[in-house]
Amino acid sequence: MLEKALTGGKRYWTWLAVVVAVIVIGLVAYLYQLREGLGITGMSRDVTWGFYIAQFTFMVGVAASAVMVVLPYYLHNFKAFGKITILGEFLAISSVIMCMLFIFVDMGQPARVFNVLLHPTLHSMMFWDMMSLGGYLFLNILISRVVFSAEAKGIAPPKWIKPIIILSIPWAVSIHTVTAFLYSGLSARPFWMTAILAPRFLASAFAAGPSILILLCLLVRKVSRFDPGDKAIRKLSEIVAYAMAVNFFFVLLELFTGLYSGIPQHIEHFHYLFLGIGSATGLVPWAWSSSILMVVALVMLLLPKVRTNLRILPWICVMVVLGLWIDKGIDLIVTGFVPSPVGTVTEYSPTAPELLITLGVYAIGALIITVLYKIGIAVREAEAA
Amino acid sequence: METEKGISMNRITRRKFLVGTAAGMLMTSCGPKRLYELARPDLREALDRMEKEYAVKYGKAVKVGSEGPIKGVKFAYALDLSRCIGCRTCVHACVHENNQSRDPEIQWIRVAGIDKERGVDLTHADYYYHPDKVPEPGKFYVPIQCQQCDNPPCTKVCPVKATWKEPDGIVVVDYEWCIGCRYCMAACPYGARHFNWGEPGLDPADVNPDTHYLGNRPRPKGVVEKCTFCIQRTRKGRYPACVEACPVGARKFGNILDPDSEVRYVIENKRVLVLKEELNTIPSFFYFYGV
Repeated sequence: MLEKALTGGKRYWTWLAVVVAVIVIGLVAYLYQLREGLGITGMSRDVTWGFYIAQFTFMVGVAASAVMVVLPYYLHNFKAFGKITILGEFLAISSVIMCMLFIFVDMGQPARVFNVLLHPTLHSMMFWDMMSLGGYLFLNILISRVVFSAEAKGIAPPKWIKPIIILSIPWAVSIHTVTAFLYSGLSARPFWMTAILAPRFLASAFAAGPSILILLCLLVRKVSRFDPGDKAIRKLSEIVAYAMAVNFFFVLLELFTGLYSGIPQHIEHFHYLFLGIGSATGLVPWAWSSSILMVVALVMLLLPKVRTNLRILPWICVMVVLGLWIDKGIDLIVTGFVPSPVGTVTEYSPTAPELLITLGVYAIGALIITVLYKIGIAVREAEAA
Repeated sequence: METEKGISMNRITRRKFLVGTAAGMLMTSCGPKRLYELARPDLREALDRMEKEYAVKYGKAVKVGSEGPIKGVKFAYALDLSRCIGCRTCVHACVHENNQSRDPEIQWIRVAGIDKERGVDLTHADYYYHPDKVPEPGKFYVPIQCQQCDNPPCTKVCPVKATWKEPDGIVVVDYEWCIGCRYCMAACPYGARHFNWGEPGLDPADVNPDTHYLGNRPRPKGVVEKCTFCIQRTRKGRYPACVEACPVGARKFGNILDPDSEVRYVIENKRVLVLKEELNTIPSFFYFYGV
């Protein structure tokens, strides 16, 4: 089936060339980091995780969100999603690979990373995260391959795949739950140590992921003859609306508990995030722009007339993705480190090489998803013809 | 027919089994091993190799020791908050003793300057005080280093068992096994773990040649390091460098299992506190008010 990715118009090849160029730049930046050490990033003694781990966290959510098309289709027999489950699974595959790469580029000793598998350490959440991510990647590759090749041949997928598909649903929930556990189990970090973290992660993931999927569906419709269908897209927007509302609610719960209880260790972090501490105000504009984007998007999503308008919807999706990306991909991780457990306030901002490496990883994801979607679309177009 | 089928299936499983075993054996024999797991002679061999590398790198003989924990010894530390004057002599003695990178700068001890009226409240601590003279009026000082917790949050999160607590209470890091994920740094409530963000900058003249493989031997870049109660000294019956360096005698160290030890006296007779007691980390590092 891979040969379908090797035929394409000028637009396709130009896009691939751009993506590959970004990958190469990212790779060069990574080699530089490999030689010099992680000191080339903006991380420091006090802010020991930064952009890489934050992107990882965001992308785990995107990966998990495939469940939002798989679940309605397989458990509720929502037929309109039949055509796009594969798009969700392909998105999951590329996202999980990006997650793994973001972890990899964050390692001080990348050559030793397989020690995690050589010495399974059950009391470390990072071990479980690696297991759940690896398993999820495997499940999605297997499911999309089996289901899709059956479909390409015009036959029904084999029966044994159904339980595996059902298994992938709780598994998707597990990847983001375990990722939240990475943070929420740390007594040293009051900002993360909250039981709402995993639910919040899932809610925001089920808003951001389907938003990305809507944008991809609209893009696919524009550049190919394969149409995912208005019904599927509108249903996705409904899912985004619910997830955004739930996420908003969770954020309020978090703010109430943190602020009303008045425990300094909790308040300090919110203080830094929304108001800054002294001259350290680096995240303030991000925090507010994220909040505004999310509130505006939520209001628009809650109005059915606005939400169902397919000309406005992509803009709502952009706001959702941007707002949640800032929330998870910038604010969440850094704020956990400021102030540090011993009370130091050290700010963080990513450096140029750090950003290039990050872009490179995103480009690898873009390359994978382009190729996968290209194959998917080719088969869908052949069906339509 | 049935027997034939049975045999052939059997053969496949046997082959699979053999291949699997061979692959497994290959992995365990050729794959990397933690220094901690090596048998004594193999460890010595690995340490000899290290010594040779260091000799080439620094142009002088560096001894890499492997003294084990002593039976009946569990180390504890006590720091007299009423005596500490915040001079940071301990910080620099530690850097020199433990071969910390000078550039990028790593210091295992940091000293919090706090207003007396606030009490031990780290949220308002100032670590970058620089008056002409210490102590400043109205201030007191809390030096913070690894608390050598009995319930260490850092070792719990390590995904590769590259850090653990030794029987004598010292939490150590295997620099050959650490993957540099810095999860332990996120987990430590005392900011006591430090990462080598670049190749450690250590002038050969500054190298302390008396080292321990789990302690102050020169580190590679990309791994985490921390205070080890000067494992290279204390396991040979000496005091940690910070204890010796303190000009006001604020630092006490010894075997908590020995009823006649100084730390034991302090813990039994003085008003002691531990940092962040509510987190149940159970530090082996006590602060007290001696006067």
